[in-house]
Amino acid sequence: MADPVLAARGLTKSFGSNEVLRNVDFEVLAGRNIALCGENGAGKSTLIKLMTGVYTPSAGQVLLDGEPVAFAGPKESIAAGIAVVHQEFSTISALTVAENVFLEKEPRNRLGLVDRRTLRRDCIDLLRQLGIDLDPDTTLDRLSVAEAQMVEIAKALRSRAHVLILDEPTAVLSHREIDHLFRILRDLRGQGMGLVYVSHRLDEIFEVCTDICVLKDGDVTSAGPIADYDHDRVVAAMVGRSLGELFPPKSGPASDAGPALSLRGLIAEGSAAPIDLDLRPGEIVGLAGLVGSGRTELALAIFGAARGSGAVELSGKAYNRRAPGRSLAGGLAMLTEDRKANGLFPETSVAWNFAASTLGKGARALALAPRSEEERSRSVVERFKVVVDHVGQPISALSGGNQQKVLIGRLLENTPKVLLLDEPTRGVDVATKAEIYRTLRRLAEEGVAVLVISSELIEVVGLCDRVHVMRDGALVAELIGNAITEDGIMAVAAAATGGVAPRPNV
Amino acid sequence: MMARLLGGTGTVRGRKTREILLLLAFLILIWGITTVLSPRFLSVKNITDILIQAAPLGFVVIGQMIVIVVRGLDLSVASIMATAAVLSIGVFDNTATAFVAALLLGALVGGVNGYLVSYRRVTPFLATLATMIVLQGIRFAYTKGAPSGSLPDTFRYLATGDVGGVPVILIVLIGVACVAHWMLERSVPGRQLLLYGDNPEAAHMSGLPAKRIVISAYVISGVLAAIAGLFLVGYVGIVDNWTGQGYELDSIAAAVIGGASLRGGKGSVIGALLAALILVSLFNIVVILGLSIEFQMVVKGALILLAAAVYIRRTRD
Repeated sequence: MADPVLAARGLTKSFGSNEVLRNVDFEVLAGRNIALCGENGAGKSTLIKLMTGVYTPSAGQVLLDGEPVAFAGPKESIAAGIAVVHQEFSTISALTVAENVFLEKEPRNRLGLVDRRTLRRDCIDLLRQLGIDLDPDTTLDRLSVAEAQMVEIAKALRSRAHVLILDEPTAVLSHREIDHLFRILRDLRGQGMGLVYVSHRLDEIFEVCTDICVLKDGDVTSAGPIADYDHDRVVAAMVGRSLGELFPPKSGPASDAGPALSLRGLIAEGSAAPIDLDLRPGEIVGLAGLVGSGRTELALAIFGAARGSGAVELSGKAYNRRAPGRSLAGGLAMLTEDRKANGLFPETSVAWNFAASTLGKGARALALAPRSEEERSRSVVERFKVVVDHVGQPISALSGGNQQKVLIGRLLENTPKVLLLDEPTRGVDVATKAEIYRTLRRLAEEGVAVLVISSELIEVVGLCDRVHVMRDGALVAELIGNAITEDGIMAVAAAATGGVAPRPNV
Repeated sequence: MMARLLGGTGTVRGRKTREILLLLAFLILIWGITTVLSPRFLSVKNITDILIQAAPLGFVVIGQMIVIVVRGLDLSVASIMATAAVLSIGVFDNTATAFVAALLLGALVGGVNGYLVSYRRVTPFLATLATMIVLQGIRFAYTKGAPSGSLPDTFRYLATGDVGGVPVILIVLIGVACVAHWMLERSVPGRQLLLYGDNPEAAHMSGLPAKRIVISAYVISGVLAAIAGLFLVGYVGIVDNWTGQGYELDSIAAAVIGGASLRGGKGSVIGALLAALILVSLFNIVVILGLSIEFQMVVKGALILLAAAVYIRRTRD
């Protein structure tokens, strides 16, 4: 095999007494795309930062074309041909594509002013070379997120690069946009560039990468050509146990119980047809479908946070004037898809976030009961193993997984009989996912009816007793028992939707 | 150790406590400097005067701060002050009736503001600007441009009298402040205000009564402005068409200096009151030091910038 363009040999990094990376070997080869996988905190970004000169290693070496190098900072690594596309964008929305791509490296004329003609021509050349179809004169605020990312990539590659590192590049992209990105990545690989692809979306890794390296707690637990791997083996390397163990055994509904929630002719925003659906106590029902198929709108209409018409029965009683407050009082709780937008109170403490929907609990007249609030939130912190110093800490100091645990704890305080969960494990690491699955199954066993909206097919298949598939605002299929398979769901979910390639997440 | 004393490091409450201590330190600092420059500043008489002068602004700033907590702004407070005083005293001879009428008027205007903002989704700036102008029109139509003048003695007494040496106005303000502090920090409605201001969408999803929360904030602000208006005419001794002029911006400035964030979800009664006291002290100091009165505006502007700089620094940390 050819010599690596960029390599790490025995890299070790400690912060104080805390060793975050131990004796790591890592190779980037020309014309290959290596995936760097691992849970949050496994050491992925530390490794990237060591190889690009942001950090200096405590031990070990970085080799560029076989020669040891010691970059004093990112500027030096960029000059040496290592380009990085970060998760956060650095583009400026008021500037044009060309101005962004060559920001601070604009061609100058003799007067020292920006040479606009050369700038434009260079940009067109670069975009053509990368196969990116964008008008260099468009300002960034008119571009979609995906297009802005293309600009980021062009910017990273404006000077000759041998290595391109992409840090979670698809976090904000839609399926179609991801396809475009992957085309560009394959092109670059074909041109002999070495690629590093940092992500925890396994299906993408299998689609676009040629090799894989898995980190766990600062050690390389597994590495090799991607062809030798399947989902199970990657997850096992990431979390130290296999995929099947993530999901608790299924049980199904208590046999003859009446429905906890039933919808008759419910029409939500964007509904193509009235929706009938029953949830029984004790079962976990999946609502699968592509993004934009109307699943979230349906859940919001049931919960009363968005408009909807039609009949809903909650525990056998008509529930037609729907509103979030009334839903919670009646035992119907919902977890939102977008934690930041409508789940968290970012400036307030863990305890306040936790108690937000149960302020009256333990209160006398209008007086809050801060002690009971703290005790209750402390018990949730213990129960869900939330990593936090103190429940008085701001919630924004917690990781996504821990925030999600607090929000689930908030829901459970309402002692719900019906739970609507929209993407309950989004942005959550694998260990927390397993914990959430166990919690949901335990609640079902206690008689709660659970509806899980998820774009992660493995989750739908592994967790749910019954799955409804939604497409273009209508329920189009129900799958039960062994009929619940990834292929079965995708066949229905993506049928006749105009050729958008389905891309289930893991 | 010190950190624990101040409410613990890294906790939300600790952050708030430190902000208040910062304001207190600043107040003591400017009082100290002024005393060095002009020893007659630090007398019981002068400090009491400052407190009494600051009291009307104190009422208004509590209401303004609560509106700011729910991501609002109340430009109508000054207009409510004047209109409530002019109309109630003009129409009713009986002091108690006039007092109640003024409060009702404040509540009504606040209710309209809140309705416009919550149900009609008018931006707070425009909604309260509109009610401010309408109120002004009503006031001028009623007085035909001339201030009504006569003021019942009871109002004079309320604003300038004292009980055992403690001015009545301060007793009332402290009472109102205690209730407001308790409400904001320890009661269910107060927590709802803070949560709503932090993230209205999340508040909605958590089942909090969003519209009721917003309306109640503006009602509180309207009522407190009306109280402030009555005390101010009593203190000045004349019912004037322009009573309270400038209080809308002073109260916004004081609320922000006192730690309220215009992005909502943050604010404290103690901080707001301290900031009001700082503003009024600075005005007093300008006079005591014999500087021209226009200098007050320079001081006010500089203080707002200083506060903005300090808070931006703190949120970055």
